[in-house]
Formats: sequence, structure tokens, C-alpha cells
Amino acid sequence: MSFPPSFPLLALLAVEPQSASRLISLHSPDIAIIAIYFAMVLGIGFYLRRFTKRGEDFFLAGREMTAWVAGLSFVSANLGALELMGWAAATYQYGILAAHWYWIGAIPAMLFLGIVMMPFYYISKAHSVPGFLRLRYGESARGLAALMFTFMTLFMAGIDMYAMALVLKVVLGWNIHFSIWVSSITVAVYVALGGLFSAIFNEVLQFFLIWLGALLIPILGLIETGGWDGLVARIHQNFPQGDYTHLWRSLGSFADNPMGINWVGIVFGLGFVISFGYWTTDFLVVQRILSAKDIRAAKLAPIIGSYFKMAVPFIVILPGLLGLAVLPFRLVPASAAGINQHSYNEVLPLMLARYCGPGLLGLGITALIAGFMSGMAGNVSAFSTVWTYDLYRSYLKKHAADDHYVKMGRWCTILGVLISIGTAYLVMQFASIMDYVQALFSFFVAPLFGTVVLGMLWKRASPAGGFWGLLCGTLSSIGMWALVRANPHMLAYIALSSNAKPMAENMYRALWCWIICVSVTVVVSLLTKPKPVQELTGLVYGCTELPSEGHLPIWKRPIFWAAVSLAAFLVLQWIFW
Amino acid sequence: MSEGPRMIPVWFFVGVILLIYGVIILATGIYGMSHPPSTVLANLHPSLVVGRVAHDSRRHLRLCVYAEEVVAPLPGSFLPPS
Repeated sequence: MSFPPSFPLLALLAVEPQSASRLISLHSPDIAIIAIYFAMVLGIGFYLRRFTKRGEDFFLAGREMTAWVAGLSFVSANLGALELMGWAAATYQYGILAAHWYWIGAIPAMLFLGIVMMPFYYISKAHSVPGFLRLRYGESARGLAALMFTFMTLFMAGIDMYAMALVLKVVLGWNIHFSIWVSSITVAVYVALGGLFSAIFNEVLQFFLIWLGALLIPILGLIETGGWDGLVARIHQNFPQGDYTHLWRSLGSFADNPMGINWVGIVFGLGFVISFGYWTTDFLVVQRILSAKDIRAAKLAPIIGSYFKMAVPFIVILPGLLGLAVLPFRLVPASAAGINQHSYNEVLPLMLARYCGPGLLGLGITALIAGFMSGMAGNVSAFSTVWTYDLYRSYLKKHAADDHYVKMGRWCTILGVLISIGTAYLVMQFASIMDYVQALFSFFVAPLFGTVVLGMLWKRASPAGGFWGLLCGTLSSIGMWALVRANPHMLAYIALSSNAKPMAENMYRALWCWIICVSVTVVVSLLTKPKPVQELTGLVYGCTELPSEGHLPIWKRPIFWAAVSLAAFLVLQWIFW
Repeated sequence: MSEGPRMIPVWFFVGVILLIYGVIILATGIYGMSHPPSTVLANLHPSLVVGRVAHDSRRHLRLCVYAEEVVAPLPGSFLPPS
């Protein structure tokens, strides 16, 4: 599932490109590089098939991933091409404010997941986040979460598929149907064969390709502009009225920045509720950590991931800023782009074409394709796990042999890809569906975080409290969204300012529905019977024996590396204030 | 994991693809010295640099895997369990 919602790129998908010519022409080394990538991922899938005989292997990679592999996969699962292109586009539009989604919108949450929540996820031996909800709150909470995940992962896989096909059409002139079918068949084959092992291996591969392919743009761009100071000077020269290079200075008021947001929304809406909700409960990313080989690796993996996540703005945000500085023409919103004009969404491919010759261009395009396909594979493998364990095994066929569930996993991977293809074609016809799917994701993620974290930290949270808190939080989010849709002036009440813009609506809505979820959970829990303490062992703080790390040298303890990561994050905020 | 042969670590596959890409990009870089592409800063020969980096990354990954076997300097493990 993509986070954050890639608003700019979704605008691209909603508007038929006007430009008649493709942006980039490929040469034979580029085609060879792309073809080799497809051969490699298929080869990895065929190789890994022999290691996925058991359910634990197919759905959770045998729970044997090391901290580094789980950590890189954890970051890569979120580092799709939709994010790369979308947030480079957002940077061109809003400036360095877009970096908040990679820093305050990720780092504290990843560290919290590793240090506080991962022990409970891991010790509980849950196969999925809905599985944890069943252990903690019972079947009703699990069923609600599983249905939402199933629906959302399939839709997001379809959106990824369509987004990739459209980007390849705009950038390379490739036929949309060719792109959809070739990529989806490839994903179906390697995930059906190798399960989560395949998905993780390819995510680690993708990580290296993205860095190698995208790193050239910021390096050559900074050489061209004469470093960071030269970059800032050129941006001010080209856009004298805007502030594109300060992270916090313009967040004192909604009216001071182009995003129409203030620091309260960024810190509490994005930095707390939305990011914690996504990074600690989205099954696509949590599944990678559940595959870790032991609890220490499970704690370290998101912490390791946080270091790489902190560096991602170098290859995503900086290209957007470089576009502001060096491109000889202005980019425009996708809806306003006419023939021979380029939209914000094209900033990354334009920068690729600016600096990368044959070979390097193929590497950059392969990195984008790898990003899209990993996104599809991640969603499909998450769907396969949630469907098989949380719906099929729980409600339809409870006591089958393990290899029956593995076969179900393989078949529903293929079925999931076919449904995603259908979704891709549906989105092609009705682009506004994407708005609804992204909104759907936003309805659920904040209340789910409230439910899960209360369940982990408060013994008194009862099954009824968990279910009703989740439901009320979700319904309140839907209600606020519908209210603003029906009457845009209501945004001023939700965001508590008449200067708030749509970007603020997501953050404040997430904050309010989280507060509602937690409040309802607390009130209902106090009025209903909790689970007996003996049933909470391994699930809740105070009832779980957490392994001690006191005997380890400090540099081997996850908390030490989490503290270093947090310090680096704070330094970055200060440097780019 | 099921009993049987040990799984090749993911770093091997990363190393293979970096090696192949390193060779292709180096070759385009060498060709580009006499037929430079019309990109900005082509005079810096980025293909040669990236091709060399990709090729060398393979060696660095191998060093990381061997380092893990000898010492454990990093707060995590590269290799899957044997």
C-alpha cells in the first residue's frame, strides 16, 4: 500500500496526457538492462520455489530473514515508483516541505515500531496484523481489519499496475496493455512460486537498483548548480516569490506556505497519527518485519530501515528541487498541461533524460519499473497472506493440512493479480476511483493504529472496546471526509482554520478520528469485561516477558541505534529549518 | 525453512545483477568517450563512474558477507542462519 497518498501522481493518472511525444528514447543497452531485470526476477522466483513448501515459508519467508534483509525490504516495500515520481513532483510544486513525509512522517514511527511494538507482534507469533487483532480483541476486530486489508491491497496493486503502464506510456511511448500484462504476469509468476521470499528478495534488489539508478541525478545536479547554496540561489532567481528550501520556517500559519498546512498538522497529524498508523499497522510493511529470524532482528530491522529512509530525500526531494533550479521551462499541474507542456509529474523522468545517457537511462527506467512491480508484488503477497490465514482458514476451511494452505496461497496470488488487472482497467475508465481508494486507506489507518497500540500497552482494553473503537474511528473519518466533499467550507472547522487547504484535511481528519477511536475504546473498555490476564500473555505490556538486552554491549542494543537515528533526524530538521 | 540445501543469500543475486549492469554501463561509457551523448555534464563520463561503482559494489557486498563470518561489527546480521 502506498504511503503517503501520492496526490500529484494520482492527478497524472486522472488526466489523459496531452503531450504527443514521449520524453525518453531508449537504446539497445537500455533495453538489455530492462530485459535482464525481468529475467533475473523470474529466475529468482523459480529458484526460491523449492524453499517454500510450508505455509510459514510461503507467507512469512520462514521467519528467517536477517535484520538487514528485513530492514531493506521494509523500506523498499514503501519505496515504489509512485512515491519516487509523485514526491519529486510534490517537491517541484511545494518545495522541501515534501521532505516531511520522509522525515517526521516516517522516522519516529519506524523507531517506535522497532522498540515498542515489534516485541508484541513478534512474541505473539501472529501471522498478520489482523491475526494480532484476533489474539488481542477477538474475531470481530480481526474480521473487520482483514476485509479492509483484502480490499485495499487488491485495489492498490491495480493502481500500481495502471500507474506504471501510464508512466511508461508517457515516458517511453509503450503500449498501456503491453505494460500491464507483461508486468503483472511477471509478478504473478515470481510471487506464486517463491511467496514472500520472492517478494523480499526482489525488494532488496530493487533497493540497490533505485539507489544506483537515481543517485546520479542529485550528484550531477549539485555539480551543475555549484552545490546546495548554488541550488538555493538559482531557485530564488527562478521563483523569487516562493520559499522552497525551508522545512519548518513557513509552517507557523496555514497562509504562509503553498501546502496550506501548519506545524500542528505536520507534527500531530502527519508525524504522529498518519505515520504511526501506516508504519506500525500496514500489513505490507509489518509482514517484512514478521519474517525476521528472531526478536532482536525484528527490532533492528525498522531501525536499520530508518537510516535509509532518512536518506531517500536525496534521490527524491533533491531532484524536484533541481528541477526548479535547472529546467529551462516551467512545469504545470497535470490538469493544465497542454501539448508541448510538461506536468509536475514528469520532473523525475525529465531529470533522468537531462543527465543520463544510454545505459544509465536503462538503469533509471529499470529502477522505476522495479519500484512499480515491487509495489504490486508486495500488495499481492500481503493479500494472499491475509486472505489465506485471516479469512479462508478462519471462516471457510479451518482444519486443512499446511500444504493445502500453501496451494491456496499460490492460487490466490494468481487470482489476486487477475483481480488487480481488472482493477487497473476499471481505474482506466473511472480515474476518480483512485481518490476513493486512497480515501478508504486514510479512513482506516489512524483508527487501526489507535486500536493496536492501546491493545499492546493497556491491559484493560476489552474486546468490545477494541471493536467499537475501530468502527467508530473509521466511521467518524468517513463522516468527516463526506462532510468536506459535500461542503468544502467544512474544512475550516475540521482543520480549525479558514486558510487550510485540502492537504490539511487528511492530517486533521486523521488526528480527530484517532482521538475518537481511542476515546471510544477507553470508554467501552471501562464498561465491559476485559480478557483474563492469562489470555494476554505475549500480547500486552505488563503481561509479557520481554527479553532483556542488558547483557549485550551497548552498540549491539537496538535502543542505541534507535537513539542515533533519532539524533540524526533532529540534526536534519535543524539543518534545513 | 524446509530441510534441504542452504538458500543462496540475496546478496549473491544483487552481486550478479550489479556485475552484469556494471559491464554493460562501462561498455556504453567507453563507447560514449568517442560518441558522447547529448546530456548535461556528459564530459564527466558518468557511465564510466557508475559502471565502475556497480562492478565494485559486487566486491564490496562479498566483503560484507565474509566480514559477517569473521567478525560481527554491525548491529545486525547479513547472512541467513545456516
